[in-house]
Amino acid sequence: MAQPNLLPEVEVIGIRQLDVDSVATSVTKCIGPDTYTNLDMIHADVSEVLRFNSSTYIRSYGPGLASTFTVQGFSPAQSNVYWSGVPLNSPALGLTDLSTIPMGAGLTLDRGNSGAQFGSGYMGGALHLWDGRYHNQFIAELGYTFETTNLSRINALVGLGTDSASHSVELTSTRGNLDFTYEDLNDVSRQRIGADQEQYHLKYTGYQGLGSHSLSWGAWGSYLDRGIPRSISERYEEGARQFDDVARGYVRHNWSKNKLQWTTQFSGTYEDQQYVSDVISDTNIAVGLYGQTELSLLSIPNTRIAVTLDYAYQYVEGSSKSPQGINRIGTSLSAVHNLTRDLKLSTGGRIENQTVWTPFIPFASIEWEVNNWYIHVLSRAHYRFPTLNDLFWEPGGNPDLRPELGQRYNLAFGKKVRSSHLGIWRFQVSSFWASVTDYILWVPAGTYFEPRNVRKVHTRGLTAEITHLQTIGQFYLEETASYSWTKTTVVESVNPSDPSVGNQLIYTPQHRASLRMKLYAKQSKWQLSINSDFTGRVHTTTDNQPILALDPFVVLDIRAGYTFELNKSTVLVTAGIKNALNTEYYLQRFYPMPGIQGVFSITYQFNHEI
Amino acid sequence: MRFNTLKIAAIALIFASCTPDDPDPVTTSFTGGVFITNEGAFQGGNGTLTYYDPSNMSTQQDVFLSQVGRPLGNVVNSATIHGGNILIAVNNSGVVEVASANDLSQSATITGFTSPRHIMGIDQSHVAVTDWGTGSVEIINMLNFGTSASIDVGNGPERMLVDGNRLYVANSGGFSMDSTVVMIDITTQTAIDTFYVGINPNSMIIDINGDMWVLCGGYTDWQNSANNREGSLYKINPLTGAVLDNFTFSATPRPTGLVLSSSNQTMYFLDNGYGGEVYSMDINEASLPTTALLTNVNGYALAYDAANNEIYVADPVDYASQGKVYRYDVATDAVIDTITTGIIPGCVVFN
Repeated sequence: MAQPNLLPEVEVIGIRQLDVDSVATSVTKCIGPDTYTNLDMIHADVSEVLRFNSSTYIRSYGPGLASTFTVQGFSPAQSNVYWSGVPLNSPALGLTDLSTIPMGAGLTLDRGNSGAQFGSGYMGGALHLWDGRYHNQFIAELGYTFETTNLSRINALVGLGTDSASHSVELTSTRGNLDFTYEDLNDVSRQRIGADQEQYHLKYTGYQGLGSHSLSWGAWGSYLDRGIPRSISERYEEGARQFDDVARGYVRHNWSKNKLQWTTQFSGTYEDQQYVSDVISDTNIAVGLYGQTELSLLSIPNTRIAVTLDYAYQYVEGSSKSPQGINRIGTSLSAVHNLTRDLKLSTGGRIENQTVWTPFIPFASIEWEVNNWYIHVLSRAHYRFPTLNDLFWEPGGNPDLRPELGQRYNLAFGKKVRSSHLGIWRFQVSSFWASVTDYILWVPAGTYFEPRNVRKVHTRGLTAEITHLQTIGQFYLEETASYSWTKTTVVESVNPSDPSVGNQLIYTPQHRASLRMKLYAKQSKWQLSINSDFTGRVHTTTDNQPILALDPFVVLDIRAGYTFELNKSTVLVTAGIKNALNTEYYLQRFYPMPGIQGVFSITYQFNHEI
Repeated sequence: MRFNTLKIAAIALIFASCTPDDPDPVTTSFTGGVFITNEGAFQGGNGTLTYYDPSNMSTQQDVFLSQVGRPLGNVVNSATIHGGNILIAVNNSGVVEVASANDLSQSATITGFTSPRHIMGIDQSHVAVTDWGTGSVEIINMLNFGTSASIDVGNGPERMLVDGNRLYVANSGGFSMDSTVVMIDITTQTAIDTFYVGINPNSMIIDINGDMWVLCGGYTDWQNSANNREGSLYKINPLTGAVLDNFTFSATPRPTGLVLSSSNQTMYFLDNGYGGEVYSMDINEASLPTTALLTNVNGYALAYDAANNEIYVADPVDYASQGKVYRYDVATDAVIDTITTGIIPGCVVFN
């Protein structure tokens, strides 16, 4: 199974509950005692968790509403989301609405390094969502969160694990009117209407070890009923509604013996969307079936060779699409050689077919760690097949679309410094340069729009981050400052008068920064979390008209928590302020985000060791 | 060191000639010029108003924002000048903005519409507003901005025409189909007759002979092309609705934007409202024109300046960034100017 590479570019966004044995073990920072919960991730959805990562930009219509993410200038369709290896990007749209993804046990952001192994769409990178596994314990948890924007969440979890087996069932419910106040274009204070929503997610995951074999599986069903409010520039009345029924599942078998490891996974996704408004209504059904197998061998000393074979079948139908299905098959070969204990070389490549074959997609990287320094150099090609909407939308779908192709180069370095007086300091700088040719864009073609391969885009930038961890008396302190610069521009277009040439892509800020602080009291059970992020100007038009850009803004969130311990139970109570500066800001033009708001939560957990 | 004063003077001249062109002069007087409404991207809320001064070919963008102090709104569909005011239909915001046409000092925001499309003055104190959302024409009293009548007319009421005491409304079908032109008595503010023409009429003129011409855009069924209907041009009696002549376009084009020259004998239209070319047709011709008057214009909307015998053609470019309007001299067969506008220019109004 193509697991995320354990490379410095892989960042664990966070782990919700640290007393869980997580699947992905690439922890790049030590948070502190295992019993503390990450306050920012309590009962949150993935878009909220990701917001303070400076290399990403969340484009959102509001809390609980459609939210997509971009990484280092790549579009949402060029950035994948996986749940335990199951692709969550819609086969129709090619992207994932993060507001429909409740935070699991953990979240990892891979900024593209594993692209050759995962395949199409892994250009900007991917989010990997994973669930916890339980060892010799029984956990029951019930939590409730309320936000003064009139949004409440309930989360119930039961987990049971032995030495060789683990089961968990989790139910998440999000409901609310989201009727916060905002100022309209006439500076009149209004209450938001038409944003009420209900979301229900039921997830079951399991694991069974059987000697050299192991089996893991998961099933996840979701029902969503959400209002899609009008923008503040539209007439003041309720907008559209969207109903979603979603199901996902996987079964994974892993066998390892001596130097051989073999993993096979079958998974599937089903989505049924209905969009209803007084002007346009649309239905969409999309199905994805995936089969993947990976065989890896530790052959010559210090070298692991892995071969993968992937198959996907995607199907779509709806009011704007006749029933259509498409097959995809791919294979990859990779080799990881530890030249020394500190120097690792990786190389390999992939080819894939969806009506057309990609060229050979190679990658090569060098990782070197010495004296607490690490250096990582990566070169890889990437690609993305057109989505089913691109191919089959009526009217306009273009079956002759070519896959997007491109190249990426990464240089990252960092150092960790330990001091008995100053704690642990880590800094890292990661720079990248990437290109995308045959960029797919929907362009006017007479009376309708159709997707075409029209542009060449370059994206380059860097992310600089510094982290400090220290025990100060009775407190653990963790601070992280991060800055990202991303310049993503159209360099060529098939249209000689394309006004986007030379300009920044829309909804791709050049400057992002974040400052995060966490404080834990060792003896007492207090925690404090302060997060702030800065987003620079965001252009909303292809010709970068300044007057139509979103203004820069700073958002500050503060949250405190206290844990009560009662025998085998704990109760975590938190209270906080979101947008403490009451900043008026937009992530999508004319869809206001809430001003200052309160957030309260209470989580009860019963934990019994077996 | 000795300086060559001649070289210094020459260099100074070079730099002087290299200074950036002076920006267009900012004016707060909009008399005698041209207003261009720009829809903005759908649901983007970035509709604007551009002002163009033909005398010095200067352009000012977003004049509503600069004069009134706030954005216009979501999908600015059209505008008209009436009684010294400019009235602007902001379709997706459901309002009609009213401002002085000379200095854009704002008078009022008329609310209560669902999807206002076009506005026409019908007498000194009333205007008519077509509303797609309700399939009606709203008669607005400009003395108190109240609604004096709401007249159901059909699907997708679009452009209007006033002839004497009669108001004609073309029902363009909206998101479905229609084939009617409704005649309204301005005095009684009631519908008095319905005329049947081609599929989805969108624009009308009355020629020098008093005959009405109705341009119909046709219909496209994206799911089943067998349901497609061609566009057409109808010549009818404006009092009785009797069809005097009709012409059928081929299946592909969706003709729109019918306007009449100052001679009242030559019609101009776009053969396609999404990237069409401009055609002219004399009222006495027996068949549709086959050769375009203006090619390579990517036409979205059309306007005729009767005072100067000029055509203005709107080009939305990519529907996501600044558009263009080409100002064309009919007499000399030449493009006089290319005007940069806001996103998706859709209506040109002469003040």
